[in-house]
Amino acid sequence: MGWVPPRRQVAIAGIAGALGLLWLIAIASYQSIVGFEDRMRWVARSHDILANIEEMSADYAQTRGSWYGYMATGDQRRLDTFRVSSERVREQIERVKTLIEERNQRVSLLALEQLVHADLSRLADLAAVRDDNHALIGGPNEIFDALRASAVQIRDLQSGLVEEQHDILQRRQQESEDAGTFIRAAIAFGYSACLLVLTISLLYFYREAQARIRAQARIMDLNRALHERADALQSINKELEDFSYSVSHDLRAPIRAISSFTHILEQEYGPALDAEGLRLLDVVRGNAERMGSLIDDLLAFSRVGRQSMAPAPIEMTALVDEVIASLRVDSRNGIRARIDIEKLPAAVGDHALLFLVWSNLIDNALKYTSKVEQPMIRIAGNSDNDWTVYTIEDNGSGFDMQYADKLFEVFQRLHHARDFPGTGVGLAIVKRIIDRHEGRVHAEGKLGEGARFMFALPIRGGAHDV
Amino acid sequence: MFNTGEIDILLVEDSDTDSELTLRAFKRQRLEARVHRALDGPDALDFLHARGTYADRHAQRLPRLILLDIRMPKMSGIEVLRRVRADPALRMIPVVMMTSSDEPCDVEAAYRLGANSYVVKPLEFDDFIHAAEEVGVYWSRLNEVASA
Repeated sequence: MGWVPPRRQVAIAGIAGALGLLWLIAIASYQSIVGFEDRMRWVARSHDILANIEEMSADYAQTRGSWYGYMATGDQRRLDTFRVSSERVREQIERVKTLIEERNQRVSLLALEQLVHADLSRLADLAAVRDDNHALIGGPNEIFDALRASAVQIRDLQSGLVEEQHDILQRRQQESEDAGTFIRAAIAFGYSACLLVLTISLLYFYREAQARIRAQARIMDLNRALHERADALQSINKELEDFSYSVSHDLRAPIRAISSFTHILEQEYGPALDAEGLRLLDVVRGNAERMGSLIDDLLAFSRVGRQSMAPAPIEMTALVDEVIASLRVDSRNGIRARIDIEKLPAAVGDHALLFLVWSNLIDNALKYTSKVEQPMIRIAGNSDNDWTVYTIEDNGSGFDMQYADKLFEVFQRLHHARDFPGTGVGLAIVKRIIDRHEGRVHAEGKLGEGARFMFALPIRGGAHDV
Repeated sequence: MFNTGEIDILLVEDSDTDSELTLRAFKRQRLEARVHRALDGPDALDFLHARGTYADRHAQRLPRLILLDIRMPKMSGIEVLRRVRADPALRMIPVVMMTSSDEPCDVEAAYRLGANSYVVKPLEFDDFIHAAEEVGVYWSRLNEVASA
């Protein structure tokens, strides 16, 4: 792949940056438009100022003209014209004053105003003292010279103002153009940058979406594989079930036959056999029986793993009473041990399976206390936030702690069958059931002093079908 | 070859040893003369319908009890039970499943199809003889049967 996609954060930052840039462009455009309008107003004002100054020049010229006319002829209308024009010149100066803001222009304008006012007052004064007989025309030259000089001064100031105003105008137009150029460049650059960043970011997100689609396809593939595996497991499970079904049916019949026919042989031909012959028959029968128990227990163990679970709240004290009652019924000689049961905390679990747990544990305790003079069994329980823990303690033959972890394995026994009969499946069944409840088992013991078995059931989240 | 007289018990059992043990138990209760053993499912159905090798048997004379093994060649005991219960002429005969299996699926199937009892053959000789005797005595002597 030639193009390495940027990190997701960079792509998001790029989009955010592009949006920010768009905002900046929008603000700049707005400000540029506002600035442009501003400058247009300034340009319009400059034009206004120039027009007023032009008008003022014309009116001033008219003032001078009508004054000369009056002075030469004494014509009253000329005098009126002179006065009206003078007034207009003053008004125009006032108006220009309101328009001009530049400091040096104002200074020039004030100078012009002073000159014009002085000039017009002098003209008015001279007009007031006009005498037909002493017409000024052809009068003293120094007065005319002064008037002429004043007119020249006024004209120079006016042209100065006009020139400056032209400069200002030109400057503003230049500024306007520069601002336009800048904003055009800014917009062009900004949009290009935005487009570039957005394109790259979108390209990245497109690639990311593609990758996600690919990942999804992969997940679906994996799911399919998982389903296939689950199916395979199910079929293996089915095979196991078939196997144990066959064991249940087919393996028992020959054992029953061996056991029964040895029995018949002993009954019907016993007298023909000597003591050794009878002992050997007994060995055969004993082994057939043992084989039968092994098969039964193994089937029970396998069933415990397959059986479906129906978790429900369980009154543990009542369950233990029930178990002991059923053991009492099963035992041939009754129960010799003293069994103390404390009040047990309730739990959630499968009734039938937990029945099996207690029946195996209590049966074990009864078995291993059977050779003690005063057999005692104590059953207790307590719970904290997470676990309910049950304990069954006995003063029986106990076991060596170094083999403690073997206790819960199938067919593992720590005692010889001649001492205590059994197949070594009971505790494996206990562990399997507690495992299915997501609980824990634990055993402690001391050889010749007794054993203590504990199992803990989780209080929340456990005990669901596995 | 078979008992043409009145039969109390039809024993459907493929295993010779189990059959012999059961018959020994019946002998003690003097039930053996009224027992017919079928070797498998089709044989049992032939007997009940008085056909094939049993064509000359009086079809009206039905046993008071069928003792049925489950695991057999040709046809399982569960299938035999289904056919017996589906047949209006046979459906009233008590059927006791007597089998090695204590698999819950078998027990469930048997009762669902209308078995009257389910007995797991004990492994121990004494227990087995005892169980067979009790089953034979109860179902063939004590139990009242509806006439078909």
